[in-house]
Amino acid sequence: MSRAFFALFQRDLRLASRGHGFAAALGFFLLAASMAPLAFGTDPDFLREAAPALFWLLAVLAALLGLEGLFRPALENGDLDIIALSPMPLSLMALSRLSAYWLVTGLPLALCVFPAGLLFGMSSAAIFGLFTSMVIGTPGLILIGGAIAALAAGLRQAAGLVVFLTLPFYAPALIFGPRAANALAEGQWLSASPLFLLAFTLQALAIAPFLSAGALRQYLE
Amino acid sequence: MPKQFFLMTNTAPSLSASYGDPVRLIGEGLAVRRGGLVVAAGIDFSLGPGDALVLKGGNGVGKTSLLRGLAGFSPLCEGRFLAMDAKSGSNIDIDWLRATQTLFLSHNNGLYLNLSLGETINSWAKIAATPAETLSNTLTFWGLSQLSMISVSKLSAGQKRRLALARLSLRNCPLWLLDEPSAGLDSEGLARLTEFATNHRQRGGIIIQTAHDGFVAAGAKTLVLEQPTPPPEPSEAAL
Repeated sequence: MSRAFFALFQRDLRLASRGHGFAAALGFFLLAASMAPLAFGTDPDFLREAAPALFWLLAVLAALLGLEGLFRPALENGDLDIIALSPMPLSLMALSRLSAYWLVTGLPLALCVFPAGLLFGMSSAAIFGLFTSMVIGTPGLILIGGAIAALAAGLRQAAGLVVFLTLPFYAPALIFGPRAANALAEGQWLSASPLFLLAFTLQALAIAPFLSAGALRQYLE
Repeated sequence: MPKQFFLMTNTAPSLSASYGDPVRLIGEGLAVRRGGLVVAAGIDFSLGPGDALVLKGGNGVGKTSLLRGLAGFSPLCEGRFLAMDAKSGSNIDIDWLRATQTLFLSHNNGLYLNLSLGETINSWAKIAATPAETLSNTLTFWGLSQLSMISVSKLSAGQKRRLALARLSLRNCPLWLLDEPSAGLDSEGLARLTEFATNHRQRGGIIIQTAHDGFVAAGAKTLVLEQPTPPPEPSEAAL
């Protein structure tokens, strides 16, 4: 089973890297970050202060960009039929697809804070804290958004619906993400915010694969 | 394709050994729903090892819905669908049969357009842990071995169908549910399919298929589905 899962994961990684979702997400993040000073003004102290919150907000929006098409092709081309009639549980298929998407979108988003952070004049400790908080938090973003994308996979014109349904669930990440970034920058690894952020991701990990599988099964009819 | 190539590869790719324990499938009074309307009702069949069942009927009579119902994708709203060991008569869990012994060929083939043919079939083979020899025999049999670098989006409808059919020999499953298996195939592809299906049934496999025209398994039992009766107009009193 683990070999079959790995084979599936490899294929999902290939599919994710050929989709347009990750390019849209990364492009949006970098462009929006570099345009933010146009709106915020050029006070370097203010920019440095605002950067963690701004980058987290941008990451949350960027994570939403490609999610809507995460499960739809599998449903439309009948790949889901094949998986459903195989020993592989649908929840593992969902987990494979979600983790492949995180590897192709979430992790590069976190890496984007290095150039963006330098642009905003952040210290290296602050950048590293922000990066770590994003590595902890973005899997949760992708997992929750992916599960809601699965709920909407059989609907037409569902992009708007997915965004509206998902954003409220991202509130914990927006609350604890920037605070965790600051705490990690100061070396407080076990303070409340990083732990809450980790809890957000772990909770999503426990729920999202099964929720996605249940939703997709409904659309098989 | 050169003639010689065609002659060299004229054997079905699957193993000659028979499938494991022979299975008997029994449907009693099955009915399926599509969009809230019962489209096929009173379906009875009994299929032993090597048997084939062809579902016929016009558009919209519920052939595909019935096939998807048998596959477990949509609930069968009436009747019983049973599987048993053909020798001992002991019951087989239908969900186990679906997960491990059943292959389904849908009309849209299960293909991703942004993978190449080789990537597609290699990933299927890896997931199913198919031996490399079976995989290469399969590709040769379906005339696909020269195409592995081609993107699926560039394949013709018939080539996509061949690729989808090639998947059936990667896993050793005795029950095949085929939705219009010959759609898009040329005459040579049709000959391959006939040989492929005959081999499957000789090994004790079962085929349940839908068909308008084209491929029909030889000597198959035929079930003609009737047009569904529209629901009665709601009467004044009911409103």
